[in-house]
Amino acid sequence: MFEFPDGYYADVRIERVFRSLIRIEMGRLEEVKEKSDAGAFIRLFDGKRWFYASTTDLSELNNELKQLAKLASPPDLAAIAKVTVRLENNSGDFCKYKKQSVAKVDLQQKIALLDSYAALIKDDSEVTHWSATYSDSRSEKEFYSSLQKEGLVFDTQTAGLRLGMRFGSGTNVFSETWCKAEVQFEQLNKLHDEAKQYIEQARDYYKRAEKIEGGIYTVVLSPMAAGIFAHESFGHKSEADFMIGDTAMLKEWQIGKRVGSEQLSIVDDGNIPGSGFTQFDDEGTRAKRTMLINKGVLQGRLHSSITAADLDETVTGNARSINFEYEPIVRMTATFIEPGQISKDELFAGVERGIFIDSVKHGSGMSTFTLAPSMAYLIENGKVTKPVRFSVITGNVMQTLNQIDAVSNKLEILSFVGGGCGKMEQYPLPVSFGGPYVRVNQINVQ
Amino acid sequence: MREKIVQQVKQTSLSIVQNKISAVRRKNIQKTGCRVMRDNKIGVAGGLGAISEDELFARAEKSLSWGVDYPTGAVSNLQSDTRLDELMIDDKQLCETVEKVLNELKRRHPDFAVSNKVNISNISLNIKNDNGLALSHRDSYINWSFLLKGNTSTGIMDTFFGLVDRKIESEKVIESTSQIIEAYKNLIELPVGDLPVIIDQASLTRLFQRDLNGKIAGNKASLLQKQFGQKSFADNFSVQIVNDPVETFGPAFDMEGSICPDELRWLIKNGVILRPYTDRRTAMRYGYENTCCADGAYDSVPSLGGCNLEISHSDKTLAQLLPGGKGIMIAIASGGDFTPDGSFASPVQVAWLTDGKQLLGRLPELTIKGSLFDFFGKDFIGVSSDKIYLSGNDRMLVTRLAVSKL
Repeated sequence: MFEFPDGYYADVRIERVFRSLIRIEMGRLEEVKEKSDAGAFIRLFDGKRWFYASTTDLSELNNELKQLAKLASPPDLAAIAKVTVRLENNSGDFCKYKKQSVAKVDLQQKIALLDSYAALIKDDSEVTHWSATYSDSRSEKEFYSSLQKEGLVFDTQTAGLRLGMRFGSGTNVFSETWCKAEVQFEQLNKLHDEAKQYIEQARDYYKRAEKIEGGIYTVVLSPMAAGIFAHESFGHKSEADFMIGDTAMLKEWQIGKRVGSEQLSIVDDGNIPGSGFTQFDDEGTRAKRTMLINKGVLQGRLHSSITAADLDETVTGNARSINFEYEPIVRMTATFIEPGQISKDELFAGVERGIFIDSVKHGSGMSTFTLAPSMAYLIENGKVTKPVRFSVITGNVMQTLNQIDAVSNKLEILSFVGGGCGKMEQYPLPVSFGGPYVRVNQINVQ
Repeated sequence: MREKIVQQVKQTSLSIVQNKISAVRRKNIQKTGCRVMRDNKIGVAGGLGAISEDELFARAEKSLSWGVDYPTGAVSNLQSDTRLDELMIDDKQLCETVEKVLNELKRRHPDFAVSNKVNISNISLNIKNDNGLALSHRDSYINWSFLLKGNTSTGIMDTFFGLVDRKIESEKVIESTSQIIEAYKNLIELPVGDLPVIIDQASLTRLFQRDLNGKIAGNKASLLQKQFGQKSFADNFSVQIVNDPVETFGPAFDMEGSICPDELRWLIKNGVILRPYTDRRTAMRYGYENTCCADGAYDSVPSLGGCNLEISHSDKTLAQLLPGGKGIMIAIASGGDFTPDGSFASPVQVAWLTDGKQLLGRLPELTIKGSLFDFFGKDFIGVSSDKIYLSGNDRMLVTRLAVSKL
């Protein structure tokens, strides 16, 4: 089918994507869009450099391969083999969502579903601005390489809802978003009570939240906050492309090194259905469950074939791109903190005066991490007492990993639509994250 | 009424790892969107590559039945053709040029590694309709994006250099990157006393993106709701929508095909909040003037998104704006945010001490804090007339914030 140039490693990834998007804002239908696109990304490796092309002309893929070969140097077979020996060369049809594709659901049904969620908020006199969005996508990928006799076909799918709401006006305003993603359209039919409860929580927060003095607090992170913390503060540091040719990083991030408290274990797993589901990555590698930190000790990192070859480790199924216009780079899938032994109540009971972060607007993590809370609460004598306002929590990542002293026993992994992870030029990539409730000491609240 | 949008991106992207080009990516992608407007409704459709225009218009026609309101109809009788696509370089020359820069940086700074991307893009956007609208924007530019990291550093990156330019000025890139690396290596103490903060404008004007949005203001949901028409900021503080393609690297027109007239570009003038920013639908619904800020993808219903905002600059250079001759320049401040009442706080991962011309050294990690009404009010100093190529393409904002060591 494809004429792969002799001696080089080359692969072709064809993506066929169906998407729909519906948006209602302040009671008006503002956008209805349904589309199917196709494009391809081609890679060729000469042993020294990779050459990539992206195109929408699927009839010209062999020509694109030839053009890339013209740019390349003569193949260095030993250097090529160092990378290709890592590749799994999977083949076969692994599509999971063909029969229950969101593309088969009538657009009118999707509008009706979104209407039913908009109804929860549209007549609310305290909500000054709101929008409701439904979006779905099913992406089917075909992968062929110069090492395979047959191709690999697999798919991903999400369908989700977002309710954005703003309470109040002037100096007393509060914005919050409820967001939920599933893998089947039908799963979205039963979330009205959850959405309603969230709206009421946001209303209560808007009415009662008080400013709190900054300072050092014990903080309890919700599963959402814990997931963002794991993703931003540690997950990105486990992406091995930051370590290529970097001896200082490799020494610092040596497998077996203690990097956190005994309570802390972090996992990345592309097998989990949801927005981080990556059954195969964009090099055709099957998803793995990669233990990044095990009881505070560094145990693994995330790889593509390129980084695995450079570090002489094995691939982990984390070579991902946001779409056919980009090359796969090392990215997370579903990243979460593993649950522990104690109950949520027991975890809170250990806090005399602290902060509970329930929802988060955004987070970041270099040497210093931050989480900007959306809804946060004061904990007094082990109980959540009142909603509080502040800008961010922040701290040194490595010190904070050691300040985790308890994790609860129930894991929640959250999926989203309408955003994702950004790395360099590639944004947004769907990921999911989560954890149990996590208690951390000595956190700077600003 | 039929309207067609064609977006074309030709790009060569070089991936850089440890001062070497590790990959070359080429793309040439055309995206076509079609809109049909009838009886105050709009239908849209879009596709990639060589796609039949008739098919797209048929799909857009069909989607009219969903009933998406578009009472303003299309823009008519407006023509514009902007050509800024003079930068031409083939892939081989680009690789050689970038390799020279990387090699020189390696020679000068063997203890620092350069990674990430250099992209050269040739882009175009065209909007045409049956009512005499014919807008075209073409541009080409190089985007240098270097992550800089010391050989003994254990973080993902230490600092960065970023520049978008219509000329390839390798020397400027080498000198600016070198200055950043040298400053990074020179860790100094936070000076005692009250130094002004120099920060990129978007970090602090992003609250205006939310609270001067016409939909938010039209629904009386803005933090600034009661301050429209009133003086709320410093006398010398003015904010305008900037739509000059030379400055923004984007088209002068918005995604509806409107071009904002000069007199409506001011959102805040001399401290007085004049108007929110809008698109045509928002302006009509809430009785505002249209400031031509329709956003959206090539195949979307155009709607109000964000806009390019710029604080009016003073006639003073950065050096002249610094009382006492020194200031704290924020290079990386990741993770900060506003509270709903306009208080801002952010950790600062990398900051420089500067005299407005040179970077004098790297300061320890900091925290900055302030209130919108203070840092654009009594504490506002100004925006520099000059651009310094050390922290993006912006003219730099100088104001006073509470600064403390993290």
